[in-house]
Amino acid sequence: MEKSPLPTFQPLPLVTHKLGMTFGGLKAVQDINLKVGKNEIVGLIGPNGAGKTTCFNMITGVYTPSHGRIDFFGKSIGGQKPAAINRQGIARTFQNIRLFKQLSVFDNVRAAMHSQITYGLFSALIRNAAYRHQESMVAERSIKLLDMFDLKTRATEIAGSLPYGEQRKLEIVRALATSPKLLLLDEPAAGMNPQETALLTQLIRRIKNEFDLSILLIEHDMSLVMKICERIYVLDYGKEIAHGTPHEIQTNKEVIKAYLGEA
Amino acid sequence: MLDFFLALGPTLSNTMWLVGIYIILALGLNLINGMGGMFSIGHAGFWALGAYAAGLCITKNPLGLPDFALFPSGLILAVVVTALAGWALAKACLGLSGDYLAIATLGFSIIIVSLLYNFDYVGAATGMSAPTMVTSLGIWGFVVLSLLFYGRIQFSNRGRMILALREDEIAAQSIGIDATKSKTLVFILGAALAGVAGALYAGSANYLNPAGFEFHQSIKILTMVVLGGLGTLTGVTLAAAGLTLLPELLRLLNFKEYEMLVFALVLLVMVLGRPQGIFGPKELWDLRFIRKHWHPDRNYKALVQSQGISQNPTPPQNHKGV
Amino acid sequence: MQLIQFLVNGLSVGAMYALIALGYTMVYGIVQLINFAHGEFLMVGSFVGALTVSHITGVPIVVALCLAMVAAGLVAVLCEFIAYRPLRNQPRIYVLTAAIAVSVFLQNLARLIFGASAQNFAASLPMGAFEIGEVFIDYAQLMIFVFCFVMMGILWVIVHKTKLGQAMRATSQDMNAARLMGINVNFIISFTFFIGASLAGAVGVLYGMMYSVDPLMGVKPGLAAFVAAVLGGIGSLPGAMIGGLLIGVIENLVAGYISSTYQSAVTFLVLIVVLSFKPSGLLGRMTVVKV
Repeated sequence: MEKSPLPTFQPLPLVTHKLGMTFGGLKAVQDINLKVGKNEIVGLIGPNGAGKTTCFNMITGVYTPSHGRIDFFGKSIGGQKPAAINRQGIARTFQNIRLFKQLSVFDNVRAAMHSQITYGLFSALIRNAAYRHQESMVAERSIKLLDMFDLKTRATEIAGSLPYGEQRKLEIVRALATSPKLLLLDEPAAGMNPQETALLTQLIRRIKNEFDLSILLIEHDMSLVMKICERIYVLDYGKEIAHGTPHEIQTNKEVIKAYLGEA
Repeated sequence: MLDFFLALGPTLSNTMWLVGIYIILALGLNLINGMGGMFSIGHAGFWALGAYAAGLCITKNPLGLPDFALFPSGLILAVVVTALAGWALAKACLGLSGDYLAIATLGFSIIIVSLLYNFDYVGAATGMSAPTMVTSLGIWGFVVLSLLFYGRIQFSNRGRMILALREDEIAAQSIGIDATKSKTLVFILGAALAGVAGALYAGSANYLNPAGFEFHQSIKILTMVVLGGLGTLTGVTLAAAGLTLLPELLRLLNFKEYEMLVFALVLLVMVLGRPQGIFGPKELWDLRFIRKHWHPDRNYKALVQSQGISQNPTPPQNHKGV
Repeated sequence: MQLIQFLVNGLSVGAMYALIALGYTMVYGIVQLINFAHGEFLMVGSFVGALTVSHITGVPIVVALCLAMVAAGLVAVLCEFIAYRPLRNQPRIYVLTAAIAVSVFLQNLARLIFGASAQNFAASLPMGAFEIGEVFIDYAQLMIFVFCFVMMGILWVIVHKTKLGQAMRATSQDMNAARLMGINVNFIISFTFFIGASLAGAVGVLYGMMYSVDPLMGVKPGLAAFVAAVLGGIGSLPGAMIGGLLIGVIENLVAGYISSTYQSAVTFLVLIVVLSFKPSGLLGRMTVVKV
């Protein structure tokens, strides 16, 4: 038996084992084995309808997986409720932006910090010291977070009125406000122009470093994926067809075939 | 015409107690439908439950309490009973989407009223008379408390969670908000406010009977909330006051039989023409001269001041169906 | 024997509920609206039938029935045009609110026009009854039952055997796709409201002849039929029929063994129980939310 070079075994942030999802008779996703390491950025790519978002929905508990298991730092989370999964440290953004449109930018972030507040309803009604203290603490943290992403000047605006790019950014901020250990980004660059995408690329890197978390991202924009992902999984028709470093993926025949069709 | 104006003053002052009660009712429904983004059309059921619970305490005095304790105990009983009913209804029906939930709440109120019609102990269809226990002023004290209650919930952590759920349930869950818990709480709180209104009604109306809590009452309360703007505090309060006074004015003008017709038209016109309510999302504290000095959310105010932005800090409002 | 008697009574009322429930379910299937005002179409039909019979001497009841159906249908089309169509792309809650408003409006309008008190329908169903064993079956009950099933048969033919019915089914599957296929969606929706309401109008005439006519008469059968539609699985035509019959039977059992004053309480208890355990009803389908 060979000995592991590491003295202690650290469970990975995310491991899926033979993850599968069936809708009716349709196998949307089959036998997906993803691994996301600590402080790693992993890409999940593939043509439309390949099952990428379905994977996200299973990991975040929106769907209950039909098969397989999902381990988050070694703990099985498959089939738990979305809220419970988030509280353990997984946050996400959505492909079609889902902000709290009628609430202010500030409230979008403050709402996401709900778990940092311990005062109860009664404290809120009498507005005691606990209420005042914790409210100003959350307000301060929210503003700090918004400031980091250049959204502070927008804080009092209604989220739905922000320009598209800033809405995407706010969704990331909202996800970060729950202090996740794993962040799932679903097409963060969708609808952005090349400049915005370049800025986003830097931003994602910064998030990874400053917040000390791992990122799994779905993206169609290959310039972004190839630049920031350390490893990439490629899905087609619900199955993994390739996985490796950006360089390996770029030269993989299967991948080229999936994207361009039979040449 | 002169008679009308002469009668106006006394009518208004004689209606003030009822105005207060409808404001509390509308705030309760506004919690569920406006802040919570659910859709209840059975609010009068909770009201009836509260009124009868308190009415029983006051008139039958089963525990042999001294007189001064009758109303407080009735109030507590009413709140407990309605909160429990709200919890039970939420438990049974929160899995339902918008319109199904609406029908379930309607069913609940019909069940309550039809049980009251059959319950001889509380006088069945004839109802029961109750002594007057609270003054108009007392009721308005509760109105102030209810306004504080609503506002302080909205501008709290739980309030933001409830609003987030209303805006987008899936996104709210993705940031760790437990939908069932918050929605159940909203139902309990909204029902409990109706319980308060019920106890006040039992303590100030001379007479309780099931016919006073039928479906058209739920529609009246719903119309107030829609007219004022779902999820607004100022608008709903004013709309509740206005729509309570309206039938009294119609009565003075001998148009009493048009009452429900007017309510139906108001509801229809609002939903077709101005679904955001008469004042839109604006609240009292959005007025410039108030905004300078006071906002219910002090951190928000501090933020606005630090930015030196003089834009309108629009409060959350329900535009979204379920 | 008593039980069978209640069942017989229940089936005849249930057949009427089924016919009303079909209207709910058709409209829901096509625009996902619980048409709260559906019971009022029954009331409209009943009044038009009653007025026809009392104002035109010697008019055959069939003519009154047809007029009632057409009038109820037209009122429904008008309501849809004024109150529901502008809200079609709004949140469903708005349309539901509009439907509630229309319902209350029609009730109170009828009250202003015709007065609040109940009026007699100047025609009646055939009297008499026959006996099987110890169970009495009124000719009226039998007629109602047969009539309702004939109407359901006609509806089935319309929905499944005509071009219009095909267009209705297409629209209920996917409104936009149907529009792209060249179906005049607005017309189909109006037509669906017309058909559903005219069925309710027909029941209105039966109801008027059995009991009496008043502005609030549509409320109780309307709610019962709504519960029936949900029980059967809203959107499903066979479901509405089964649900209607079931609710009719349940109501009569309650009236027979407990008390008729508990009828609506039990009806809604059934509704809440069904909704909390199987919201899709007996024959309905559940939909998946897309994220």
